Amino acid sequence: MSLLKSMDIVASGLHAQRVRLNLISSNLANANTTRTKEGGPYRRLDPVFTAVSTGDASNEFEAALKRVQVDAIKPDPTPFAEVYDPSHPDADPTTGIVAMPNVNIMEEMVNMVTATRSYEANVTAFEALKQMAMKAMEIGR
Amino acid sequence: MMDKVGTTFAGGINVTIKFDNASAALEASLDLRLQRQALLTANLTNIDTPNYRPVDLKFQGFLTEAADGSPTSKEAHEIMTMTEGVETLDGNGVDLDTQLVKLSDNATRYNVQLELMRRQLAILRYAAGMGSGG
Repeated sequence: MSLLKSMDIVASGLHAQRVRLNLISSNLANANTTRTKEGGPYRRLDPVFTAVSTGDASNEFEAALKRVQVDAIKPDPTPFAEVYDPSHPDADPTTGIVAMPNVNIMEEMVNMVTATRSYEANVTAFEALKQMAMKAMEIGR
Repeated sequence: MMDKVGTTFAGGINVTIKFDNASAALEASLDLRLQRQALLTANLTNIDTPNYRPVDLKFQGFLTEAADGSPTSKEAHEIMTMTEGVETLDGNGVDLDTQLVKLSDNATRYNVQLELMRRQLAILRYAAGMGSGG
């Protein structure tokens, strides 16, 4: 049934945006982390979204109908911020420079707002679908 | 002996209730509204997917065809991919406001058509009960 399929698509959108919000939280929480398991400071993470067809490609409608999928979680390759702070335990002993995470708080906040809006858009789509389903059930009454 | 369902009023006009024709048009229309809702939902879901182009369903011609009572075919609609319009830096073409308006417009039309169908069935039920209310 098309309505249930649409609901699955909305679910994929909600999931993707939640993954994105989780990564933003992780980035914000680690904005000052200088030690990681991999060595060096924390590198900010970004989700990569792709559109995936919901059914077989031979059906024109199902090929056009795409859900969203988190394809990968990629570390941001931009260089770390270099801050002069000789008293920091992780500072270079000769230069006094500390490599800080490449997290920009402003950028993360803007990202967070966009992710929340996109999440809400999915919720709105779901509400519309739910209302349609409820109305369809009234038909025999 | 009645050979046809209908009523002849004083003016001599024969009114035949064509339930089947109207139902077929409504049914086809509801079906397409549902498909369009699915496509619009997919657009909103892919609002942050790079290089995603929004899709929509064009079915005006199909609706007129169905209303004429001519044979309906599901192939008559057309899925369109929007190539023009706004585009963000990642190549995504989904505009939140446009899509939300389309989504609520389509949902409202679907609900109205469902209501029409419900009332049509209610009339049928009323008639079947000879006016006793069901």
